[in-house]
Amino acid sequence: MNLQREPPWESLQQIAQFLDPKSLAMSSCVSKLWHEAMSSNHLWKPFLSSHYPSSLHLISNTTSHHSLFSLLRNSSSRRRHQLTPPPPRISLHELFFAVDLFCGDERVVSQGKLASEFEVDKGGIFRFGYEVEGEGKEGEWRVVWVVVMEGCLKAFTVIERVDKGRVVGGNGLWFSEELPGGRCCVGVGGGGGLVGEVGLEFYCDVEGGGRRKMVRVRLGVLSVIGCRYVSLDDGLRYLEHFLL
Amino acid sequence: MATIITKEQQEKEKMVTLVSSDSEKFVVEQKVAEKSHVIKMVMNCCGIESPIPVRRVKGDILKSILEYCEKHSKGEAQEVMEKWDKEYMDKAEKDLVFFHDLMLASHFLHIQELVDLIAVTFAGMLKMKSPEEIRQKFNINNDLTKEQEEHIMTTFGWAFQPI
Repeated sequence: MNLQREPPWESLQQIAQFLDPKSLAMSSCVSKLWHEAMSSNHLWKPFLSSHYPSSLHLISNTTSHHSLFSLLRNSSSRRRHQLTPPPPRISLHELFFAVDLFCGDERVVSQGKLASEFEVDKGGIFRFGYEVEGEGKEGEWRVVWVVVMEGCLKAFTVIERVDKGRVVGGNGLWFSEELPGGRCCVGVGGGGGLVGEVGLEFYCDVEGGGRRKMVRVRLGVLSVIGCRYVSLDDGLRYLEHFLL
Repeated sequence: MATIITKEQQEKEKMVTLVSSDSEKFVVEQKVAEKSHVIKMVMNCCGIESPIPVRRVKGDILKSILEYCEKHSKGEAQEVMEKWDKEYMDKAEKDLVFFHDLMLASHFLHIQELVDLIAVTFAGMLKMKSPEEIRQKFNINNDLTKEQEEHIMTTFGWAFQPI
């Protein structure tokens, strides 16, 4: 059943008095007449003064109550819903990972290839791996992981560390180093809240006389908060600051 | 006691005839007709002897309005009235053309209680509806230019976000 005519302006004003802010906002988008009727200052003033009492000081002849209310609501909803960041400007196909592992003076494993050619984590996190064949050694390690941008014009050292590593479980040796803050406001006064990590996994070859063999190298970037790996996109967005 | 009865009887005798735009006649007590501020003013100045034309209101609408005024002139308990009002609105809401005419007539006749009741009901019909749903339900033409619509939608961006 359709109406022949729109409700007159007076009726709309009357109806508007009984609407909550959201319904009032939706009704404002219906037509010119509805917009005019639904955006009167006297309708929005009570919402403004109950939600943001201090903002009434901002009202001037050129600011309407509904637009000020919306400005503040838009701002808080942006805050709550966190605008999705732009997609990363670099991809794994443009990055070259160079990983060199030394134990003492001896080079144990070296690997250099496109990031996309490593085993990429399927869950979309910034974590990579590759199989290696190397001897398990004891001693002080030098671990270097550098990301080089295609064209070899820029590079970023994720980790460069000389120490004995941290033993994790029976067969893991892990190295980590805090990453610098990006050139944006992230991590003011300290690191970026991120840690670069290189993990070595060993396998104890019982048949081969109990010799420890290195079987896999893992690379990743973690967030200090919650000790979780960052997402692939967040990792790329971080590297952007140094590689573009 | 006796004087009160006489007064009531006198009240009862005070009947007024209202004539709708389509010439339908309604004979009601003066206190019922008085619920309309406009009719009250007409009665005050012209008396109740001759029929009062209500030119802008059709018979079916005037009948429904007088039914409302009659119920509301009895001074019944609030709960009873609230229940009656709800049933009255439920019925009116079913036919949007009728509902719309009722709204216009209540404005025109200046029956504030009914104007408010209809406005609350109308507001309830707008709840949780998108602009397009509102336009469809009430057959409203969107006369906003694309730029105006975009501007308004951006201003009220928060209302379109999930909570």
